[in-house]
Amino acid sequence: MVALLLILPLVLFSLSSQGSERFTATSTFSQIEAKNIYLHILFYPLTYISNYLSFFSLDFLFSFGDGIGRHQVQDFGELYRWQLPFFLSGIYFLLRIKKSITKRIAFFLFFIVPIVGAVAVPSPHSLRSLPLVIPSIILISVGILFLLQHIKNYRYKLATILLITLFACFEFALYLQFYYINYPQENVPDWGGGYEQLVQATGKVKNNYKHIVIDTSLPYAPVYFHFYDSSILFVMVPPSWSEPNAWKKDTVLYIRPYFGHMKPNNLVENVYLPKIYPEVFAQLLNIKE
Amino acid sequence: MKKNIIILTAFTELLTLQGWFVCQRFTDIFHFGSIDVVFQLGTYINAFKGKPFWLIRLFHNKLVQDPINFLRVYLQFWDVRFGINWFSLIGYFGIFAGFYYIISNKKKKMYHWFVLSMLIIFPCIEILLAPQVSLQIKSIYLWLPFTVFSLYGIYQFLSYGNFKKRVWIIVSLLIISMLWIFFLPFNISNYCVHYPIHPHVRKP
Repeated sequence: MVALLLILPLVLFSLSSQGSERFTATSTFSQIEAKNIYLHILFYPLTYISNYLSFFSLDFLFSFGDGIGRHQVQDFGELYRWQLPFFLSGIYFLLRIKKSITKRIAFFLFFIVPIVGAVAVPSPHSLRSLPLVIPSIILISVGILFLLQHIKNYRYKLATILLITLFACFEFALYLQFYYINYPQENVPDWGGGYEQLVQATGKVKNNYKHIVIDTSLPYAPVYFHFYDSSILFVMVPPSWSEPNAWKKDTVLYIRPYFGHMKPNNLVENVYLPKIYPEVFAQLLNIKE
Repeated sequence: MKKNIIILTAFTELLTLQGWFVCQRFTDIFHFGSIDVVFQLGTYINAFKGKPFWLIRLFHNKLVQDPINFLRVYLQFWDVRFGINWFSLIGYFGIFAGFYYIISNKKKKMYHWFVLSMLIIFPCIEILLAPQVSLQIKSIYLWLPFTVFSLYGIYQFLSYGNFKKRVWIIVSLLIISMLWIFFLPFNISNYCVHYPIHPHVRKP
């Protein structure tokens, strides 16, 4: 009863229009475009099944992950590559066992986890598949144990253990190297890198312009501008924006992402990502020139 | 009963050929040669400014990167999303069932090993050689062997255990596969470069 009372505000908020906004944005069903209600009814389960199965994709698990930079280190999936053969052999060995509690728990967890995640997009999704770690580790461990049990010769067994350890250690070191050295460089944009520099650059020239407009292709600009310098007044405009006639005599600063032209004629300043070898993140343009 | 199910499954898998025939060629995600490993290593090494050279080369060299790239491309062929679109859901299930029954067969003969190795090797033709032949020809060394193998898997699946229960599983998968093929547009855009679409074929 107390628990119900405590979650009541959450439930009430979830049912409000603001609360359901996130649901609409991430629900796989809201993305379906069907001509009539019958097709909707048909598409819902098929789309759901498609999303559900995507969580078991080997490419997702071992190679590419979900492709979202904030969730993963580049070149790595959710599990290590060296675990792949043991993962597959673990499934095989568990399937062969008739009545086993390990088998039931492993497969139950393995198949139940994506049930919720599959309702949302994008699918597969690393965060929504986090509990898959437990059944995956069970399967991998079973795979390793059964494989070692099948090797009768002590020397071969020792060699196999050494080989597995070598691969595991190397891949772990490779992961750490990517995590500590490459990731902070390559995934700067995924964590909002460049916005602070953008606000600073805009702050320096803001007094020279009557209007400041920002392209909506920089979607998080309002948040960062309000955080770093709330005195800058700006308008968000779509990429197709053109200057209104009423502004023709005014000075206008146009801020947009970098599209490949380093030095356009009306360039005020290039804003660089904070990396060892900086890349242009956004450009400040004076649209009067 | 078993025979009818196999025929129905074969028919369902035959329908997936539609997808193969509107495709001009596979995209670069299946071709090992499409990865510029020198450029890739260059971008990784850029992050190491000021670090010891041996540390850079320990992790970033062709010996390490090539197998990683190969595995990435190879796993695309065994991806469930690729499988259910190109061989149908029932076909993909059959392929894994086939693998299971061959591996668990204690009296494996030479031809069992031969079939297994062929299925593992066939995708490598596409990955390593990226042959410039039409998908119709490709389907002969990719679609046909996998489809036949999946039928074997389903036959084996129906031959063991509780027949009634297993028939229900297969029939359910068949229904879903049929609905998938008829109602969901082919989700093959990630995998193939299209021919100009024939007006009678639904757009991918």
